[in-house]
Amino acid sequence: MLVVNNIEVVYSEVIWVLRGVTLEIAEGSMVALLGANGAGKTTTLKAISGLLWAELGKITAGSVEYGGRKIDRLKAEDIARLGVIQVLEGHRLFEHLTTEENLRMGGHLFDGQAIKQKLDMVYGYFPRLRERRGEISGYLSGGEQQMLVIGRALMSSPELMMLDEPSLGLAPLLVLEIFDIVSDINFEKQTAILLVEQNAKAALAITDYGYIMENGRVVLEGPSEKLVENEDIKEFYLGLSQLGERKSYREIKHYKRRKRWLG
Amino acid sequence: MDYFLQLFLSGICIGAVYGLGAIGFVIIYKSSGIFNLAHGEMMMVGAFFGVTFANLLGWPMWLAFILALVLAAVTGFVIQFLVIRPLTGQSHFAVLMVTVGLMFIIKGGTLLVWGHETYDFRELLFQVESLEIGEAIIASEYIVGFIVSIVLFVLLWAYFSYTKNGLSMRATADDEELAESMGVRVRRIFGMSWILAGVSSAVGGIIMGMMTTIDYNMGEVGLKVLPVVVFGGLESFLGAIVGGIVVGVTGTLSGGYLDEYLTGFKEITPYILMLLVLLIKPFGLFGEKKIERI
Amino acid sequence: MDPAGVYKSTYEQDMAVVRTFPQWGVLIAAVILLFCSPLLLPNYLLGLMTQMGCVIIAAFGIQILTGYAGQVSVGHAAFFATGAYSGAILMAQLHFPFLLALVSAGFIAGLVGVIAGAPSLRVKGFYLVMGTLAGHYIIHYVILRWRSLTGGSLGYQFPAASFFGLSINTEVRHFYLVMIVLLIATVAAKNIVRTRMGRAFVAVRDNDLAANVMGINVWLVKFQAFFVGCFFAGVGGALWAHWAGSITPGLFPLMNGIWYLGYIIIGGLGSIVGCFFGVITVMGLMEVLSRVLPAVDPSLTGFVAAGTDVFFGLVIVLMLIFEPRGLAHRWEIFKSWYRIWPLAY
Repeated sequence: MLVVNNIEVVYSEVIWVLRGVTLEIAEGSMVALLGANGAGKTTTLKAISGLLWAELGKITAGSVEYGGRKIDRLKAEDIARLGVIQVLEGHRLFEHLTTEENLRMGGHLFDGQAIKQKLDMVYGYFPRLRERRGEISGYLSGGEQQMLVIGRALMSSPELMMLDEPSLGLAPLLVLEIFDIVSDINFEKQTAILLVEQNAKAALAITDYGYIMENGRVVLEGPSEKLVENEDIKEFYLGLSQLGERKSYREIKHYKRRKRWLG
Repeated sequence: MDYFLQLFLSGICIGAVYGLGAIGFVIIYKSSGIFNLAHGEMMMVGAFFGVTFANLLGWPMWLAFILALVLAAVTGFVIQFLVIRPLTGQSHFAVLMVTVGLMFIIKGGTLLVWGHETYDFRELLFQVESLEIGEAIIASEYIVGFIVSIVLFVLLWAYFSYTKNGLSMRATADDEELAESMGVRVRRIFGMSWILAGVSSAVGGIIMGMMTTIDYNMGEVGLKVLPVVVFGGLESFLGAIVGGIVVGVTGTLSGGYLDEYLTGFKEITPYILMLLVLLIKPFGLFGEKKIERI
Repeated sequence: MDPAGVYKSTYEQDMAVVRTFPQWGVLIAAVILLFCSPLLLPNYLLGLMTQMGCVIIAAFGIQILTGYAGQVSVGHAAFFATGAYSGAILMAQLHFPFLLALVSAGFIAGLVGVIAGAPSLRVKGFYLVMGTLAGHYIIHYVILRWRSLTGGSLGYQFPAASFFGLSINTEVRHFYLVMIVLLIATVAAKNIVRTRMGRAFVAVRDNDLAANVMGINVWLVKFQAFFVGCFFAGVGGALWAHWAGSITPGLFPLMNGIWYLGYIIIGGLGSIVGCFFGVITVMGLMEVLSRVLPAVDPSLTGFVAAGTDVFFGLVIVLMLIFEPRGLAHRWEIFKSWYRIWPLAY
């Protein structure tokens, strides 16, 4: 459904961030995009959703196709209308509007009756939001705000929902709750999900397929179950180095496995 | 007592007209977060359009009014297209300074096109008798101004609070990048809000023009309206009207009673009022509190 | 960036404003040229440069207040006026010697600035713009109505200063006086922004909540910013009034305060050298427009009055669209280009 074809992204014409990234997301699938800070994950999402312009970024090579159609030259508002919704990092909201108004903004492409149904659906997923529907959203807690932004994305009935670090700054239990809800959404509504995460363990647990990015390139990809078994992933992303073995200090410099993909 | 009543009532009417001027300002701020210092000049241009159609071309007042509004809408759109749009994404201070630049351009342009002469409307927008309450007399133009202000206020308040478009405008003002990521046509929203602002500035300008003479300095009235806007709160239509009335009444009252001791105090009463309000409510009487999280 | 081959080995060298011998050479040559200009230039140009000098000093003030400390103030003309009137009254009525009057005028303007800047403790952003607008009108009103002190709309005479018996009453003498003060003011301004106080200004501008959390006394810093900014305005005002000879309140309208913001935007926010660029460019262009055009074609005189407004507005708008960081930024780019020429980058 979504094919990112070897894109290169440059900021301010001098900062080369993405150096040939290729992804594919099938309909109704759940894909994880993992990587350390600065790898280029958010940039990849923005390249897909068309929001690079706000940070003076440009796709200088490659293409992005959605449903067979090239979308890399389209404006963000048109891409959103096609059904590709990005949930921005850091639970960004319309702070001065109320919770319900934020949700209505999410559904603004639809008319009155449909909006009411969608609101009920979102409140069904997030009952806590129903309690807070009339409050100014800037005053909600971090977890509630994250729920609100996911709910807002849901309001537009997306075909592809791209979540940028939804677990950022949230309590671990809340993270589990949100990931459960995201899985439900994928299962019940057949919404394709592209999940960018730092929390590799949780992300690989709920997704079908995964991509690992480093320094602007995809360095490893595969079905999530295989990735979890991968030695390099275990070492660098899951923190499972050789346990129970005595550390030989003679080999102190070699305690880090050399990453196989640097070959 | 009658003196007081006269001052009070005329203060209310003048205040409502200030409120009318303030509304155009609030529209821009509410829908794009921009502080438009060129507002007074836009009001002046609207008045000039009206006077050109009514006096110089001799067309009936209602026609002149409508045409002036159309032209003002176009002007608003052109300003947005040429000047504001290239600055999307820049800080609000930059846009503020651009409106300062606009202020100079529009004032100079008006001078070039219409010259130094003064103009006066020959007839009012609609005819009413001047009102008598007790011994106080309220002139017709004040009544017209008051009615128009209230009507415009109700219309705009309803639009922004209850319609989907109004909600989109408020959202765009809050965070335009976020709005765009949700499919809101941000550029179109900006265009619409400036058209709306152009129209309401023109209404304010024409009404004010009916009460005073129109010349190229009329733009200064825009600066007079600013304390009203701040007093009432930058995002609030209710604040604009209430603020306008309060400022109008205190202005006439201080002019009437204090003039013997402190001449010209009337000129700075709005500013003193504004400072007092800011002390207690830093965002104006009805303004939205800006939410900041580190 | 420094030219190739220039390296620093001590902290002082690293922090120096003028870094290499050629830079010192250019600077000294420029100053000498400036001081020799009365030999070459007609009195009318000297007068213009004197005016620019006074305005630049006041521009330092608004640059520190708005460009560095982030407190947007449109009331600068009122502080300029305060300095002008204070200087005049101190010399005429209390017979202060000129230098003492100059510094005192700065202090008085600074104090008035602190009072007028009190709203900044409570409000930010556009609300502060309005607070300073109110400050301007109130100060203007006081100057206008306190007839016994300021002469009101009738104006006030500023007696000429004299040093060691030499009375400053010719264009050339005014020029030297102002240029010397300008030099001192430039050194002062450039160094103020490099002190701890200057860095606190920038911290408050960028994020006052975070600055507060880090231990910066934001209230104190805002007061300091207003004081320093208005001090410079007062000095500039007193100097200018001295040059003008007599002053009336009508010479300090609100528009002037807005023009100051225009100067630093065009010159570059947050840059002392930007003040020079902004004031010289704008005032120079205005002069050219208002003198040269009518000289070329007398029928354009009416056009010029309206034209200057349009032109100034256009310059601001275009500047903000194409080079929002001002002429100082272009200057930096030029210097880089010059230093690495013939390489591209």
